[in-house]
Amino acid sequence: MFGSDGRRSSSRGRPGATALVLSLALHVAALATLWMTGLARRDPLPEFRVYRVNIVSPPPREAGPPVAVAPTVPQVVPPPREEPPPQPEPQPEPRREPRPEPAPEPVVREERPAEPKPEPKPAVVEEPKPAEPASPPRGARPEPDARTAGDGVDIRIEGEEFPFPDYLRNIQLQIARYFRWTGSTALEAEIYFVIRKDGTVEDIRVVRGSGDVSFNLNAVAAIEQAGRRQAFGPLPDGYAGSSLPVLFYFRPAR
Amino acid sequence: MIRRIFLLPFVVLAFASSLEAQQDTTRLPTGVRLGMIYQTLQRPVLAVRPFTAEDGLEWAAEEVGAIVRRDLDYSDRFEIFETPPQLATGPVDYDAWNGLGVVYVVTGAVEALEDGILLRLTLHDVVYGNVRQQQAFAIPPTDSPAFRMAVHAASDEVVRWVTGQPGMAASRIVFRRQNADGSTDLMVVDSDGENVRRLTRSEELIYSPTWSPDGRRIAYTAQHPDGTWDLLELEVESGQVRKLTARPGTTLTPAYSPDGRRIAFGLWTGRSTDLYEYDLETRRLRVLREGPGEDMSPSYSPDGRQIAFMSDRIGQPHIYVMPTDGGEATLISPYTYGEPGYYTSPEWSPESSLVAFHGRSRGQFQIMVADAARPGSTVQQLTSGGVSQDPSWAPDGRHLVFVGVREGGAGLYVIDAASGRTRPLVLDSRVRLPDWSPALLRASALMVSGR
Amino acid sequence: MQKRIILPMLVGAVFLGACGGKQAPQVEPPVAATPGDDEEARRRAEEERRRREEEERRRREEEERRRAEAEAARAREILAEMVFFDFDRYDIRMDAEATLRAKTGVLRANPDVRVRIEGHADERGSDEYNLALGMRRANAVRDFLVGFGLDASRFDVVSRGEEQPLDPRSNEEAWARNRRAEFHVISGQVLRVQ
Repeated sequence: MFGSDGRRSSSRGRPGATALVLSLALHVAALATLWMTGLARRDPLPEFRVYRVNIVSPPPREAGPPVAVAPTVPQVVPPPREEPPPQPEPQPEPRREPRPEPAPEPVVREERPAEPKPEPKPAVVEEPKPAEPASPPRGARPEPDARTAGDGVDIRIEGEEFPFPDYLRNIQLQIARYFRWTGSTALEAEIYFVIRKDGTVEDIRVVRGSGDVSFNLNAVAAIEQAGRRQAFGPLPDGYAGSSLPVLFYFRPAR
Repeated sequence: MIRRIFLLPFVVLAFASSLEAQQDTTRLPTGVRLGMIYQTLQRPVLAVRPFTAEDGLEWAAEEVGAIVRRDLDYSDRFEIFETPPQLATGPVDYDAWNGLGVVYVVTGAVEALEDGILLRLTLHDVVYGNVRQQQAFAIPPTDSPAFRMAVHAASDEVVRWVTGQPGMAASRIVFRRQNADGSTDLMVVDSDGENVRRLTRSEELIYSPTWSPDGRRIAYTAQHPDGTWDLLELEVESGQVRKLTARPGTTLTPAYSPDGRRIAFGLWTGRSTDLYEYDLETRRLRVLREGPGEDMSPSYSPDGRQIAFMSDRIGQPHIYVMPTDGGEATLISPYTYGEPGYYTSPEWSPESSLVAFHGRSRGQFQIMVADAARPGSTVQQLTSGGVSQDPSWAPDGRHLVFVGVREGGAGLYVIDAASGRTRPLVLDSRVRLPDWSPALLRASALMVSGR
Repeated sequence: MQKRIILPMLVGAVFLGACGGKQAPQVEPPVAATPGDDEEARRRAEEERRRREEEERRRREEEERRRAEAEAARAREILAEMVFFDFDRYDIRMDAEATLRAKTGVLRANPDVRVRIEGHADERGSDEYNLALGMRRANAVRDFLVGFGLDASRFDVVSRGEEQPLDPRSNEEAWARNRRAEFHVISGQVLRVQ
């Protein structure tokens, strides 16, 4: 590219001094811009390879007198078994999963396009059943299938095998424990942060804000506080890297 | 020439950008992409420690503590954790609680007041290791009829501290009980199943009790020996009953508007049942919807602009919504051409666009919820097993009381629409037609500052 | 109507006379040949005849009373007979039509009688909707009867919803029996069938 346009030969004679100064100034400006741009992007966001995480949450609670929950200690939980998504057992009350606030987003599984009134529209009564997991598209960033079963998060992200799913599960658990948000339940955000070897956290950034400053601050604070108290724990022994970048999303149930 | 010179920096920049792009593809640390559904995880583990008391009030502390603990459990917002004996007294040991996975600890202290007791509630945030909130409440003495409701209001406040929304403990459910001799009783029970009381007894049939938005009155219909039905209103405090409409006829299924100024109901005209609205101040009656078939069981939206109701105009009973000022009715219950449907008793959530009703599914009636803001979208079935009918929303827009027949017995049950958890409220096969009151008492009325 | 009573009475009397029935034993006047005795005999015979007539009359009245009672009972029976409906329906079934038509006869024969029609529903479904259904059923019955020329003001129409089942069980048989209209006389005398 440079070569093709770089002919300096001119048949018109030498340029005037003004033009020379101007040109020089422009070059300097261009180089400065280049340099400064380089500065600002000194630590680019890593390209995120998605690892396969198959985390099975504990089965939903039965109805009846409250049972003391088994303590969720911030520790490694046994690696989950490779198995299809858990089906809720036939139970007296089908709605086991802790559902989001019915307002304003009830759990609507299949949505049919609204048809013109006043015809009675065919609508399906959704028998309590698990949502079909979205088949993961091949590629770099398949959407995680987040189903709301059990008390925790049931995440399946197709991709490469990440050998420490229990560590990831704990990250989710801890951020959940530190997250204190009581406002709108329709906001989404993605926060980037890096976990150091010793389990502390650095470089927290809002990658995709929710549009609500308060919500973003709450999300960042949860990660910050968890990091400050080393709630994530040191990086697992077998992990090769010196730090673990995480791109973490906060999403309401649909 | 000048042009080409000016072109040069842009060329440089372009080249630089391409250099940048080339930089991106060199070796970088790879990371993980994770996330959470933050709503599902909003059920933190919470422990209620035994409340402390100054001398002589130990029993009151125990009673108050039991009520608070049960209210927080029934709110279905927490995993209630049993306090281990070694953490039951003394300063709150955040590290120990944290090690158990608990997120919140509630402590309470009870002191004597001249005319009751002072309850100090403290919410400890174990994860952050600090006191999140605390408040003192003036509670009537334990033998006062207002005692329990005041404690419920304090519990509702604790729920608000954590979730941003108050709980529904300070509320009651009105229902009717049919006696063997043919008389009917109008009854109330507290939201936790305690304190069942009779409001009135009638020798004739009573139907469809419904609370006014201020929680002070209950409207209902009562039948005369000649078969006509009157619309009556009971003032709960005084027990006085007055007749609401002068127009003779048969009124059914009344419902107050959210501003308390109007009542909608079905009126049997001799040919069909039509929807009417009666203005309590101007005493004017206006037609909401008339025509063949039965139109009844109206229920206003929280902003009062829409009404959900039941109509069998198409030959089977279904649930519709229409603007209160008149207009087209939109079907929201499931409809499959050629299949018989039976959907009745709608009630609009006080907090959202959801409408609960009961309908047939595989032969048995079950509680269902449709979204009036999205007609045609999937209707959610909340109950299964046994029979479930006549749902009514709690003021938190999340719990529902209904009439159920279960293995444990027939009577009133409460279900949490969010988690599905169900508990019995009043086990009595004679009870029907419950209606859940609005919040009857707010903690702000009890708060004491500076103590 | 008078003729209808007299005729059977006459016929009855003839039959009674002819068949004998329960008769008082004939008292033969003694055969004596005294003039005073004749007078006495005539007097006694007269008494005897009157007595016999008296008894005949009472017998006939007794018969009539029993017959009238039987008829009134039959009329009440016809009036009280219930009619039944299909699930979630309030239209009059074929088997109900015959029953209702018989009622119209009784009602026409007893013009001062007023009736309360009660509509009932089985326990399934909404309490409140069943109240409306009961009303529909009672009204449908009244409309049917009015269609035969009877005055609507003779009927009170009441719904009992699902409150008073005939059969408290929860099965198809019980439900079919509970979906009904009942008839209760509220004023007037029910005497005649037609």
